[in-house]
Amino acid sequence: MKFLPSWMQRLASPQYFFLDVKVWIVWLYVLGVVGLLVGSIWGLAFVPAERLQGDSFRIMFVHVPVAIFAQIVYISIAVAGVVHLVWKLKMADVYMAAAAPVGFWLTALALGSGMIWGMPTWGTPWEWDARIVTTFILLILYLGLIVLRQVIPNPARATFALSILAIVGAINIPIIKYSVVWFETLHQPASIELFGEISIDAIYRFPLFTNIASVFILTAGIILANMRFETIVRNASKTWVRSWIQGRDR
Amino acid sequence: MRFGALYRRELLIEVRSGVESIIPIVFFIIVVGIFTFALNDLISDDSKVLVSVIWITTLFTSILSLDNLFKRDHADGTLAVAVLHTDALVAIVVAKLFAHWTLTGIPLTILGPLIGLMSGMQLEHAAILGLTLLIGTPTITMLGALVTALLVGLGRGGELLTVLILPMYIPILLFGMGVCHLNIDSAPYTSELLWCLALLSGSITVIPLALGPVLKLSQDS
Amino acid sequence: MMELLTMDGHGIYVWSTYILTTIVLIGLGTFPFIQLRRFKQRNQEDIEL
Repeated sequence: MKFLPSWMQRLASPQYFFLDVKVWIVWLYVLGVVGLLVGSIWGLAFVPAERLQGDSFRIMFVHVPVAIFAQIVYISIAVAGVVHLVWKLKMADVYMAAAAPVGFWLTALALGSGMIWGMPTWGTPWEWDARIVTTFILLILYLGLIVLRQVIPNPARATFALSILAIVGAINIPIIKYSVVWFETLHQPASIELFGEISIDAIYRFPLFTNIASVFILTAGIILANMRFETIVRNASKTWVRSWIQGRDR
Repeated sequence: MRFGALYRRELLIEVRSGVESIIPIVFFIIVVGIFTFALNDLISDDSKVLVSVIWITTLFTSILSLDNLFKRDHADGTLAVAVLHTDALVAIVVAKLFAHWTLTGIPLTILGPLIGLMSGMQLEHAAILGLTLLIGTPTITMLGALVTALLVGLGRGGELLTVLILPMYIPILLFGMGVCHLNIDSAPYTSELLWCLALLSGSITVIPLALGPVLKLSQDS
Repeated sequence: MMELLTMDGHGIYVWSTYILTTIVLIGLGTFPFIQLRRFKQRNQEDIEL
């Protein structure tokens, strides 16, 4: 890993990670919150109502970003699993532990906002439809990742098992992504394709993209904050942690 | 030759354990029977219902049988010895999984379409159901064995198994069941069938290799 | 102003989504810091003992 710049190599050490990353978290939180406020207020008050759904389409500005990152966080955990298996990087394990609860709550939020959105538009909060069921499965996958760590006492074995589980579970992500295309479903197909047409009117794009970017920034901040806590817990017996504990008071 | 001997050994151990080895099959028949009884009208109207019932019961049956896959070997120390044979570990694991599939997968592949035919399913639909089960059951065995191996030797493994395993089964379930449904609707199903085969070839090539390290680590703690 | 709150009868759905999201995000964002402080306090007591 000699090709990485030195500030990045520093982050592989738990102690420097803990010290360096604090400033980043503050900035990511500030940027994310400001971005979310701008995007949401824009989407709530300054954009005309949609032709078919009326005002309830404004739920889109939180539902879509949250659902996107519910899936992306899982992919990132699977990638961290590969990184752990190949390079035995300790930080990959810390990342897996820190990101799993965040992904769980994002998925829960995607399901919750989808349920509320379903009430005015579909007439039902819950339908056993392909997209909803597969997203629910994603929630169970996250739950599995969280529970498995608690059940296995040996940390080395827990990390290994988690990596395997995350990688195998990743075959579900394309199923969730394409469930709206492959199966008969109530859920509308994706309006944004990474490489292709965007079937959303220009006035709605800006608040949506602002919120997608902000949720990304905020998620990154929250995961880093979680990682910071995980590094402390894992290194509880080290001297630098003990001096940090005593530091502020003496 | 060595593989044949290992395979025979695994089969013999299973068969000699008596009734225990056919309990999953009995479970399968009972559950499908109860469903056919309970959903009698629905099933005679639409054979899609029966196909779904058979597929889902196959998943439950595999969970029931997988719980014991490594348990006995772990309890009597066979697993601890097997893990030391680094060269032979893959062969041992494959023999074990193959024997497990012979005793649960093959009977289900035969029984599924048979129950379908008995309930008035058309021959072609039953044949396609058999084909998807033939592709699906080894995939299910492989994925299930991997997740089971993660939990070997943990006291509370059993209950956790269902939560961890079911999400892994979703892709093969959706595609396997999808092929049968499309066939009943007389729609083209080639792409779904190819997905099934992709899942089978992927799991059959990678998982036996991954199982070695997983089992090795399970003996550490 | 009332229009923004009621939104043609869709107001409950829209606002409840935004409130729910705010609560979950605030919870997620503060939880690691709460844990960190708790960890610090618990270990401070241990060291003093």
